[in-house]
Amino acid sequence: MIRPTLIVCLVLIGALERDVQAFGEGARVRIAQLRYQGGNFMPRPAALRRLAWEVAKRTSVNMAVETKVLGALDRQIFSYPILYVGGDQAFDRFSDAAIAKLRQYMSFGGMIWVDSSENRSGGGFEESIRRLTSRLFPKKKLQAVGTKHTLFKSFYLLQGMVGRVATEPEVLALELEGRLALVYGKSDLAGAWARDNFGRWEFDVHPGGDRQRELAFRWGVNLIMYALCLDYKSDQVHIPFILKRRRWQIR
Amino acid sequence: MSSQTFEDSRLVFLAPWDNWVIVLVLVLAASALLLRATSYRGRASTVVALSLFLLRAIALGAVVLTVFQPALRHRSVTRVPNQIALLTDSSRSMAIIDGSGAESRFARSKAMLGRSGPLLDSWRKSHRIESYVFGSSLRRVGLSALKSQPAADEETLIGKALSALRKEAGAEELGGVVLISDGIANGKFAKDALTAPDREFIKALKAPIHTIWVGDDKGFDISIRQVLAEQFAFVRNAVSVEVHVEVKGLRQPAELPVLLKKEGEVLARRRLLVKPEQSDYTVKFEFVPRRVGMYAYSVEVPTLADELLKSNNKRSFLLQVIRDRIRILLVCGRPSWDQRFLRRLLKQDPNVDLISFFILRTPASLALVPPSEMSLIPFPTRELFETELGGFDLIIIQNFNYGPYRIGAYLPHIRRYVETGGGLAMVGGELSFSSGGYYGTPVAEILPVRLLPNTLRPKHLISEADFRLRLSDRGREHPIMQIGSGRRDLDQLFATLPPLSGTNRLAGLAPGASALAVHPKLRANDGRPMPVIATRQIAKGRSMSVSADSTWRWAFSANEPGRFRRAYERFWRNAVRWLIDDPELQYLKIIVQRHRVRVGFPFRYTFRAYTTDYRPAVGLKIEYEVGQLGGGGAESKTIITDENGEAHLTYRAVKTGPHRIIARAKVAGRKTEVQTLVLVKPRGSEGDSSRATPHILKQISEISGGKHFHESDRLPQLSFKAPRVLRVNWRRDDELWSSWWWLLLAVVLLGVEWAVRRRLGYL
Repeated sequence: MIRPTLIVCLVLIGALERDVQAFGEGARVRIAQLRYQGGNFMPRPAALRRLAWEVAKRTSVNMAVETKVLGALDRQIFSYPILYVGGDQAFDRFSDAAIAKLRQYMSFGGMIWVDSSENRSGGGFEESIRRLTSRLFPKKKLQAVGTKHTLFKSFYLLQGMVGRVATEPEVLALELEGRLALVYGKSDLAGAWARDNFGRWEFDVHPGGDRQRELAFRWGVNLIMYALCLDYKSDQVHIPFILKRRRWQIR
Repeated sequence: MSSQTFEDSRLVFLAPWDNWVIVLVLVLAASALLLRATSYRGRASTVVALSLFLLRAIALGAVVLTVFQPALRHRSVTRVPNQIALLTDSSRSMAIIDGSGAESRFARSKAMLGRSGPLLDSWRKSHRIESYVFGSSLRRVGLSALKSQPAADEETLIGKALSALRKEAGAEELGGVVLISDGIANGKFAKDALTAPDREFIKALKAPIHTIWVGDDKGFDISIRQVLAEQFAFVRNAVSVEVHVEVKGLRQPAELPVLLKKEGEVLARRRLLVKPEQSDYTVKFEFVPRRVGMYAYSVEVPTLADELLKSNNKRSFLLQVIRDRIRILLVCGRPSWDQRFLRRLLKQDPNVDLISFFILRTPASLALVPPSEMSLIPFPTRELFETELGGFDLIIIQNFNYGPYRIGAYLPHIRRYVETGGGLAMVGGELSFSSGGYYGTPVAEILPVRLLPNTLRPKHLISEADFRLRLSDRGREHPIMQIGSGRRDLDQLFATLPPLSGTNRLAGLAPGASALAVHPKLRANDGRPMPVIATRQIAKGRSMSVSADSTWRWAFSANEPGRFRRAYERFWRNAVRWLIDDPELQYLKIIVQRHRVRVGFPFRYTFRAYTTDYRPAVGLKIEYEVGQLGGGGAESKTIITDENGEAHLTYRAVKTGPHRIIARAKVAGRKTEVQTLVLVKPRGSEGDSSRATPHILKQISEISGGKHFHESDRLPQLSFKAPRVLRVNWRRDDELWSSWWWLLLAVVLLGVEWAVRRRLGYL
């Protein structure tokens, strides 16, 4: 008598505890990766998938694990408000039409996230990125992002950027209307995330250690969270002030 | 009235010449005389010269007088009596029954005048007596007609009455004034001490003003002397009201309730302990207006049986409740693009105070790091959904399932918040509506849609297919959906807007709700298209449901980028304004020239009507009512809007107190009703005070040289200015110049002078 009852209960509990579905794959947060001519637009092919998995496990974000690779002129680019640009060498100039499209993408709220796997400053990839940003917004320059920026606390509390290498902690960015529309890191975050099909890390981190790899993942999570929540974390400090400003009840 | 008549005579000149002719004649005569005087120098003896000079002078004098036509005027003259003005105060305060008698102040004044007949007769021997009543204006009323006069004036304008008296009588004729009043004055003589210009004005009358003070300062009265309240207040912000209560003539301590009412409904009550030795009290109220608009409030103290005046126990005031900033609580179950674009839009609006809380990690999320290395904060559920809930204008629940966060206990608060005037929007997602566990909860009861039981399988609660919203007829007219630039553009816009990705499945519309946009394929339980965007009015609040989580695609679109982005921004801004019941979204408005007017003075107001796309509604029939709030008797009339979508009207209130203007019209087939208030105030503060006060009367009498008395059975003996003006009864002129001997004298004298000069050889 006990066993059937137990089974029924377990079935019921299972039914009640089932996870609700999303509004399909289209409603998930998916990272798009920019495809460009020349150079190597995908030096760490397995990295974003791994990051998406980590974000899904660590946060409440409904992440799509697979990324979408798109060209700048692809109409679908506007379905993905976060666009990852990877590379480890110089790439070709974008056409004027592509520049215009990317400019519109950023102006309307899209965020471009540039992750250099070049392992050095002043390389071909960086040169290409600087050329790209100067064409996108000629009057703006890449600026260093201070450690008090929301980017450093959008989920984890972080200091300088640490990826596969820890020698390039500086984060550069282009700011539009008070938000970071393009974030550029040179520490090869993707290099720290990439795993092969057997679950082995594809690249060693320098100087090394699990902590460094963990910090690289935290940076990935923070970047995704910033793209989704912008300055939400900075807002929290204003809440007591806002709540006190209105005397809505007689105490 | 008696007069003094007497006769007198005097010399006058009747010559009709202009002054310059007279001057010319005098100059010629003087020249001729001077010429003659100098011509004898050295030729004649002094006696002769003097004689000739005198002869010439007398002759010329006779000629000049003939030219000037002298006459002797006889007349009969009567000395005209000057005026004594009896000014009796006929303001409302004179109707108060005080003192030992059972008669009002006004009745006692009239009786005093009635018993003073012999004294008045004695004054009539040398004065003319005119009787007036005064209040808002000065009116001549015979002493016999005075008996039937009521004391009903809304003001006691002593200065205005004296000024009118001076104009009517003329300062020269005024022999004196007898001013009978209780001393409760309004206007410029209302202050305890007269100003320098007022003193000069009284002196300029040049007549004594004797004042008779009627009434006493011992009666019992409670009055709300003053209500200190701002004319404007911010919605959901505490408003302070300070009430000054005056209690005079109290014999023993008592406890009085002081009530603050909003259009008849008691908002707050205070107990006021009053004592005989204290007359002035201050009571403070605080309340929180919940909705934008114009509201009538009143402060009242119950009237007691032996009070002098009952009308001063209540005082009304209007409060225009406006919105400073819109406080929005955005609660989101997980970060998403939909949340990101909506939050950014709200954050960019300078009129919005946004407090957002997102669930960044769930209990199921991996916690690989210590909390100290994360920037996560606890979700302050009690603060947001209980202690501070009422401070928000709008709550947006976006893809948020309340279950894991122990918010179930607060859901009744949210329902009550909406019912009492709050706004609620639920935005779709896999954690929203039925999927969020809201079926059967208090929140489900206030949504515009009916939910499906959440025991159904997930695929029955969510549709993953992309779809393009279909605008409903109701949506086409609704303020929220005015996201294009005109009707045609709106249809075209919805045909091209980027499709939405998936939707929560719903059972259908809730009773009284409106579907603004529907799913093109999915059906509700009743077979109608399933609502995707719906709205509902719940008691005083409003709710809205958007069962998709991808409107952000409108904002982030490469197609017609500016147009779709504007549509997205308009949609959510319209939604916020509709949910908070922003008056700016109304299709019908009442614009009042002034919200505070004096009784009897006309004021203008305008109805302004709009079509659903906010263009002037030309030729719209508007039904309207204007009348005293709670007074009844307001009749309904209609008016048609002009080419500007406006209709102009004028109203003259005959009663005091708050008046309500209501306008109703049908816009796009739906009834719209708006209203506003106008406070009609008395012309003066006559109804405020009850206790007679002699201060101002004493000052007037002192300055004018008159005397001040307290009321008695009869008027006292008084002195006035003696009459100075004379009236000529008849007149007769005896012309001296027309006598023959006058001319003969001149001829003879000139002839003698000529003869003498000839004789002496001076010719």
